[in-house]
Amino acid sequence: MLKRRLIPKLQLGLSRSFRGARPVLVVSRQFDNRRPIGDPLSQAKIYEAQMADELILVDLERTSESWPMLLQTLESVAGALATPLAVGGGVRNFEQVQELLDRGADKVVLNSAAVRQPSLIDRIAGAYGSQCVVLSLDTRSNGSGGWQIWTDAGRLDGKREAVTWAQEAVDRGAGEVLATAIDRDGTGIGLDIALTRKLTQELGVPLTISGGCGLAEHFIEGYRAGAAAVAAGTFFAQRDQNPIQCRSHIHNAGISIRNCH
Amino acid sequence: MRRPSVLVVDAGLGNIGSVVAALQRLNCSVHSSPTPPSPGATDGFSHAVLPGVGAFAAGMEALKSSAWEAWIKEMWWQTDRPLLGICLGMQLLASEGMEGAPDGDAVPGLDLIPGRVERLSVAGNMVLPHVGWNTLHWHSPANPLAQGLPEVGDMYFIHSYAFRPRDSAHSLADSDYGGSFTAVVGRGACYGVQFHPEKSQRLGRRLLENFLALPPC
Repeated sequence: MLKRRLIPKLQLGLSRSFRGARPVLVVSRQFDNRRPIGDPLSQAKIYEAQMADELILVDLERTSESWPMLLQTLESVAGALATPLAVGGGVRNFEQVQELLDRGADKVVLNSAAVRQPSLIDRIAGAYGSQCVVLSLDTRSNGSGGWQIWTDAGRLDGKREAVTWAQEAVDRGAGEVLATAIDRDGTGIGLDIALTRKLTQELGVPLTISGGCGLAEHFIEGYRAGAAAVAAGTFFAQRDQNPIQCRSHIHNAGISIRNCH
Repeated sequence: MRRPSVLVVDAGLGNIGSVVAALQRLNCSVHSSPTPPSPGATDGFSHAVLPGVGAFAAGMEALKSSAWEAWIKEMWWQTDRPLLGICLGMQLLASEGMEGAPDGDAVPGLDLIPGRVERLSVAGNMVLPHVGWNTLHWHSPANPLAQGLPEVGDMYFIHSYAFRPRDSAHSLADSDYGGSFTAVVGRGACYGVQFHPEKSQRLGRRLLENFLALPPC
């Protein structure tokens, strides 16, 4: 039986010192207030040891300065781990997708670039298969029961309705959708369950929901609403609870999830 | 036994980096190449791995144009040395495949293990691709590839098509997603796994170790 997935998110930022910039792991709140919390590679190894089902590695800086550091971090993580990796942040063109795949990404996470140039999805899916393309949606409520997408790390109005856009992206070849509720990010108040239900209903591909996990119960709510996977950054990074403990809560709630063998 | 020397086929079927890295963590020497080795150089390898992601038709096209098809069928297969196909690499071992096939005509595969690669038939609210960790059931736990693996253990899958072997004896293990499908095929020293052992943490590592422990002839 296919298991639901539990996915720690590794968010990258840059730490600048007199020796130059280096990649650091950061947590954020509502896509803002980034706080450095450690080293990406060591944290990735810890997550693998704790049976993370997959890892999402995203560069929050998204600049030409941070891009080579994302590649370097990815290379070291992919070389050391045997865990599926979805990678993104700052991807603007097809060549960058190739760079990520060459360094060990299994899937590429597309957000702003797909909104600006939707045909990029068709091109990547055509060349590497749909399983390789994850459409990332950063959403805010539109105030009337729907959701709007925001691009550029939540700063710009994407001017598209979330569900319609996700459907278009899936039609173009996105194999998975990752949805993050911006206003819940880092708050621990729980996932956007209405959004989870809506996307699960409307999309024919697996959904990963993210933004707001503060308790194991929040993961359970996400799975019950239909999500194939729940992703969390702050929740695991703060070490209130590690993925193994969280997993046993989920298992005890009767949800099919990978067990420790 | 001599330390295994593994050749990873780099025919442009997607990223092979993770497979190379996973093998490098085991006790073997790993060599990857975009073109097939000469007959003399071929003798230096004890095991070959054919990784790949993407569509069947494009995969066969890449194997043909890079001369790997001829090498696998006419050189490696004839020596009966161990071969492991991973994901698309497993599917390409079949006689034919339907993915990316023009006008619905099947595309010929390597035809090392008789069978056809077809889209998974899933019902109702089940989505494709089949992605995530799913249970592997071995038909014959005594198979060398299954040594030390639990009778039910989870591996990481990501695919929409599956290998349907013509001869059920070639199906070594299956998994279930809206119905049972073949997850491991084997015929002689030629094996294929639909999941990604290089992404399946501890159990995937054990399966790769088992493959490397297969005798070279």
